Amino acid sequence: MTGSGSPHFTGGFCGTPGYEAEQAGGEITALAGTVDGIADSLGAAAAVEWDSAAADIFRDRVGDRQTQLRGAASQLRGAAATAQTHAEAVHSVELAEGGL
Amino acid sequence: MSGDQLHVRGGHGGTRFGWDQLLLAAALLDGSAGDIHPVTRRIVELGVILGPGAALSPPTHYALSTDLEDARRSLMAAMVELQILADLVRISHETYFAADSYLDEQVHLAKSQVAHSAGGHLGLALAPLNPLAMAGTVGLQAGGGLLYAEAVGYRGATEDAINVSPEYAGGLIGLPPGMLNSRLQTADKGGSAERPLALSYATWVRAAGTLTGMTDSGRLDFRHVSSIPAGADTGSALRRTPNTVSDMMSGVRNAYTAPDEVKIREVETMEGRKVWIVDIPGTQDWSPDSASVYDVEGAVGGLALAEGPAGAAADTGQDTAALAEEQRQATLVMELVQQAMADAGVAADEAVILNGHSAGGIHAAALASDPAFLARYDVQFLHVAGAPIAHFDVGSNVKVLALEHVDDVPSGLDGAANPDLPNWTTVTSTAGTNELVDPAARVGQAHDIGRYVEQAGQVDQLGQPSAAAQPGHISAAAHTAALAAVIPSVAKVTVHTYRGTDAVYPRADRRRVPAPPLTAPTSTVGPRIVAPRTAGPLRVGLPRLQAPPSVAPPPS
Repeated sequence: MTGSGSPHFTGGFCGTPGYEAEQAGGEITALAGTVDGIADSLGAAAAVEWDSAAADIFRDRVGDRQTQLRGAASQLRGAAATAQTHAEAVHSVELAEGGL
Repeated sequence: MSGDQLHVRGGHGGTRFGWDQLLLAAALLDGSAGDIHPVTRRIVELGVILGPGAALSPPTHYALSTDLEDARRSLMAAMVELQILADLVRISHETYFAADSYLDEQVHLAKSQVAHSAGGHLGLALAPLNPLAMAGTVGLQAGGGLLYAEAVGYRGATEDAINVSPEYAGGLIGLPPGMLNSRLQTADKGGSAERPLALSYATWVRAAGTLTGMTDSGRLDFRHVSSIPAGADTGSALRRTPNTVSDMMSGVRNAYTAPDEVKIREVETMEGRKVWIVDIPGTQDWSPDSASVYDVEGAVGGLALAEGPAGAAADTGQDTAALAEEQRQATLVMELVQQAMADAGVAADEAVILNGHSAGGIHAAALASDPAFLARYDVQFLHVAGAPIAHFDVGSNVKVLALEHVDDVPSGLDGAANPDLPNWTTVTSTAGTNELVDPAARVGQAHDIGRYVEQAGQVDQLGQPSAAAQPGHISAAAHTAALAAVIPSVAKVTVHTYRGTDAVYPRADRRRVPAPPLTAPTSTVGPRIVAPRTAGPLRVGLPRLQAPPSVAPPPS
């Protein structure tokens, strides 16, 4: 994190749309974990030991960004759940089409 | 000025260190923002990958796309705001220091204008040679100066007097405002000079002493006096583990016991390491040049060292190489210390702590700024009290603690505040400023080594966890903890005493002029201090003062 080991995500899943949606759900959950890790890493920046108004403002702003990132991670977990629902729906259609 | 308190500048709680920390934090924010970018990019890619499923289940695909887009937007917003915050820190950092410099420059220029006007008034009063007008103007200006010093402290007044002196002189002789300031002051004061004025003054005074024959570069006469267990000569003062700031300053006070000495404490820790504490006293003889190495020549020569041989060459028009040799010889105290350290057996890998009071602080700072000395010894700490060392480029690995007092005139002879650096903490005391005493006594008390020992004890207290809520605690705690870590325990302390005298000086028959520091004795060791009963030159005697044992006959 923090630039020294930036995350890399590439490639597709090479399968049916239902399989891809299922795999995407898992990856979105992993992305949420990555974002939580970034939010945690901001704690080091907020740990500035300086008794001054400038440092107080800085710590507040960094705290706001941590909250914002945790919110984004939460949104991603919601998206992962939606992806699971989508995958099930697509699987259903695929099965129905296969049955025909 | 009122109240007894400590003002702490620099160190780990200082402005510079704080801003440096914010800059590092800004770099962390850059890194975090950089980490967010690939996440947002992958979210876009996932949208493409999931595209074929849209036809199979449009409602769930739409819901998923919406969720992903919301998360992506939140991440993009956080990324942009982190970058903005990092940029704001950098901009604020530059703005803060630019504004600080600008403000300092404007304040200096305003003071210089007042000084030019005052100089002009004195010039007008002198022109008709009217004694009444001259006396009145001089009296008014002296009174005004005293009132100013009472308001800002004698240290600050001394710094200001040095810095506005060109404009005062310019006004006196009828030059236009700003003319001398622009030539003699550095850029931060609106001038074009390359070196601080206080250092140029020191170099000029030294050069004048040499040119007029009042001073000679001299030759060190070095003697080992004794090596005895700590406390054997001074009672219990130095018996316990010497690992506090108070212990450092007590050692310097002990170095005043006899004239012309430097003391080195050899500390053997229980862990089997050795730490060497070098205690250097201040000026002991106020002759321009004398048999004492602790004379005015040494003090001024030490101060001039801060601008280096090249700076001195530019100030005097002399050859740089010759000045380098002259500067080396001019500081016999530095030679004394180095010979003493070599004789005592200080090894390159053993920690060294340099302590000094007044001119002793100048010499200690000069050593801690000398690349050759720093390459030879592992200097870890520099403790000075009442010493004008603002312009010394002390090694970045040396932890500096400078004790000053708002009324200590010698501290202000550098014409500048000490730098605010992570490794440099300055603690200024206002003790006694609310007492009604005459100016001479006030200045004398402020510079007294005994008072600085007390101030050192206050710094030790400020570094304690119980003082965590007090301003300056962080810097004091960082320094005192580092000091205690170097000497965690003590198995044995040996005090090595060396004496150095100047074997060559212009008038060997010159009577020794005793040193000033001042006020009632605050300790059983150190300079015997006498408060002046009337206005006039301060006189202070040293205990058991005697002629140096080996003094060469005066040159013909």
